[in-house]
Amino acid sequence: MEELCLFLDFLGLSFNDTMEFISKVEKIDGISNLCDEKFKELFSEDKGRLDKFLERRKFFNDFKVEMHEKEIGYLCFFDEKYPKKLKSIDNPPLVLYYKGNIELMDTFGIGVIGSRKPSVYGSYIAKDLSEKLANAGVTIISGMAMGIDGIAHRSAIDSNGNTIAVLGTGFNYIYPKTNKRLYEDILDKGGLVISENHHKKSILPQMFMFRNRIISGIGDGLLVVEAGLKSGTMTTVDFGLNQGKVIFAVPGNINSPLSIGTNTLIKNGGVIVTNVKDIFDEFPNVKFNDKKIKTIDHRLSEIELTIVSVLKEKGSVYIESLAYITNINIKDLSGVLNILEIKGIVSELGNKLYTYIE
Amino acid sequence: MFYKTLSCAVEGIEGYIVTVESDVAKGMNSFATVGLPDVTVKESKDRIKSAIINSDLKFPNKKIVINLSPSDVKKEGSHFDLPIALSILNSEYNFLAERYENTAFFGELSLNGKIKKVSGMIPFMIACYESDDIRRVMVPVDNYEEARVIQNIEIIPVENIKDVVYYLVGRSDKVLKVSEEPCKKILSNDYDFKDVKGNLMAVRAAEISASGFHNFFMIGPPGSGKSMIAKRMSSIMEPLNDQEYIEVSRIYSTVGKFNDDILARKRPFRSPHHTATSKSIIGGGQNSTPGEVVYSHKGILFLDELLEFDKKVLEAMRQPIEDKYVNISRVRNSYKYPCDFLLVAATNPCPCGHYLNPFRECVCQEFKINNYLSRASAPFLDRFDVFVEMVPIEFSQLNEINICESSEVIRGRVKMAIETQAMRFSKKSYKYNSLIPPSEISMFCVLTKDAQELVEIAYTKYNYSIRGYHKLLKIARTIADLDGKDIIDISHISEAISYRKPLQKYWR
Repeated sequence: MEELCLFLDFLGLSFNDTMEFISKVEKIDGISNLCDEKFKELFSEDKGRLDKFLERRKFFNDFKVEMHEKEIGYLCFFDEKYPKKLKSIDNPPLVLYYKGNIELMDTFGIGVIGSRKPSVYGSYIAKDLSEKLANAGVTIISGMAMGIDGIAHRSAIDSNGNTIAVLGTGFNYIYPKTNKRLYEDILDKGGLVISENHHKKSILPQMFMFRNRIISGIGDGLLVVEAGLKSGTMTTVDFGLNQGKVIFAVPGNINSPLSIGTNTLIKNGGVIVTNVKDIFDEFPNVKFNDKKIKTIDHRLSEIELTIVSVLKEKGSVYIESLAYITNINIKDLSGVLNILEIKGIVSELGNKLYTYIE
Repeated sequence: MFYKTLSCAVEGIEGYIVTVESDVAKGMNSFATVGLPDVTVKESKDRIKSAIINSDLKFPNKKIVINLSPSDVKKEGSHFDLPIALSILNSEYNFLAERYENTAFFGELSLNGKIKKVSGMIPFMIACYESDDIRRVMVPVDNYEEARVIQNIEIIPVENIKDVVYYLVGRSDKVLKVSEEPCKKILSNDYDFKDVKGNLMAVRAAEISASGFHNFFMIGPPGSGKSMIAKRMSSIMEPLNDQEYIEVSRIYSTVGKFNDDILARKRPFRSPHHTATSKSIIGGGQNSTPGEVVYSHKGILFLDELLEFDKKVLEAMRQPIEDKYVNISRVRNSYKYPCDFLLVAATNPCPCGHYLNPFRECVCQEFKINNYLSRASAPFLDRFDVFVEMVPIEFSQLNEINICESSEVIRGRVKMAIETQAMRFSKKSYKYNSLIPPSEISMFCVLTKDAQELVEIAYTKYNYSIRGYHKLLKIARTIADLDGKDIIDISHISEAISYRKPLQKYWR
């Protein structure tokens, strides 16, 4: 049965067509029994499709060998192990190809999504929340795209958490190329990478949007960090809403074009997230790890204390402004900030904008 | 009769002695120049004849043959006018041997007998200085200051050919009165760091870069002050020392671009436009003329809009940056030029310029940003030590800011750091921290225990390569020198880390 599904997916049949086909050949198990005569009988009225079937059968064995070589596993819709969360969505993938730890599919996960080109603020929030979620034992699900997606995966890996990447392409093409390293790291660190497309499939732009339903589907909630009003992120939100998921949104500056989407979500009833606890509170039945990161009591020098107190008071400050406020020479200031950053007391948001972290 | 006069010619930036031989014999009235003269030299015969006649001197109506020896090298330049003319006039006027022999002559003649400025004066002077035959030189008055770059040789400035002849036959003792006071040009800077508002980090980075000769890279949105800082870099550098002064003047003199700035020992500042070809940057052409890298010798080469430069040009620059010389070979000849410069580059982070700008949205697509940034290859970026990210200042800050140092104050610190380095490297072939070879880093970059620990943490946190790690130590060395410390401590290392961060941020 699995092999049949795999073959049908290899042929490029849609989910509904496959279901129809399978109902016709219900009692056949294994493709070996499906001889050419049977095909001819089933597709007597559709000559074109029959020819395609017969032709592609020749390549099927190679395809399977290649999958084995590349260590790509697969789960078909009828498989027992097929994730339950996906079974219930519209248009579930017929075959789910995967690499890595498939067990993660059934863990509690939150989809972390957002702009491909996030602002400094968005990047920071994505990193911060993903780390905290991962530390609490939540699986971080995202699309391994540029920007927020990549940051979310990376933060999960860095804090030794679980993460699932849902590819828009097959396993032969990792897109974007710059995330190739991330892809390898996810697999190395016991993460999971899944795709509904087999590795031979040619890439179409709509595939990326279409996989968003899987991201929302396997997540128990969807955290939107930053999004424009019309964006790929918002399509994921639409899928999520249809699937009945809780949508979390991070508020942003009302002037920032990248926060219009999230702010609108909040206006329309999305759960506002200003702290990771806001997410936990939505799932009273789930047990989260209460793993608190130990704060090492660094003894701070006088100059460090001055800087920290200014940062505490003002939130985030540019290095130049810090120099004016504290009257510390820039050469000392940049050094001290680097040390504080390494100690984990301040963080650079980018562009020499520093903030105090609790 | 056979007469000979001494002069020089130039090949690349090397001068060599040329003997101008003339034979003035009875026969049909004619004038021929042999010994591979190029067009400028061949044309000189008409200039010479007119100049001599218009100066009320006597031009021999005889058969004249001029030979430029060595006769197998192509010679060019209008400075042969004067020696050729004198060589001919010798047959009419019998010059005094003590004034005529052992003297090299240079000068282009105008039709009325005036002697005009020539190019290549300094290579000529060096050749004359090194030659045993020549004890004095006669140069056009406009070249006088330039010629005086080379000392310990008698220089006689001249204005017109009539004076020269009178002097040589003994009718007058002095050709021209010029002050023999050493020329004092005051180094003036149009640009000063006190005009720079904000951007404290970048100003500090410029100081470090100038102190240790660390190549310097600025990245940031338009209007954040990148070019402003680059233009002010030469104002904090020490003036050229004696040897550098000769090297730089020699290059500029060869192409006739010697100017007052060099006379004032100001370091060259070159900023070629980004449409420049590799020929104009490196050098080349029929005569293997030097390019911008050579003109910035001992000074600054500023590449504004670095990523807009042709990639081939950038890659071609890798060798000259590393080796500090460039070999230019063309059909006719091959010359080696020195090009030891400080490279300063500035660029926008993306085509629209606002990628990561906190105040404005970037409108570029992701792959366009990547394409843009990847125009600088990793090996090219490896040539830079100090990276700094520029942030435009907010309007509200514009009037508040009052911490700015003048170039003079900064120059004082730079001077100290350079002297420290000169002392440290007195027995080495290099003079600056940026040039410490890997094998000697552990010898010169000694760290305190704290600093060592910080380096180890930073090494893993920021994922440095070995080369990146070495660069970090070299920058820290310069920072410690600016601080007057022998051993690098934690504050130096931690500051140095700041100048490696942008590289990782944009090109990881």
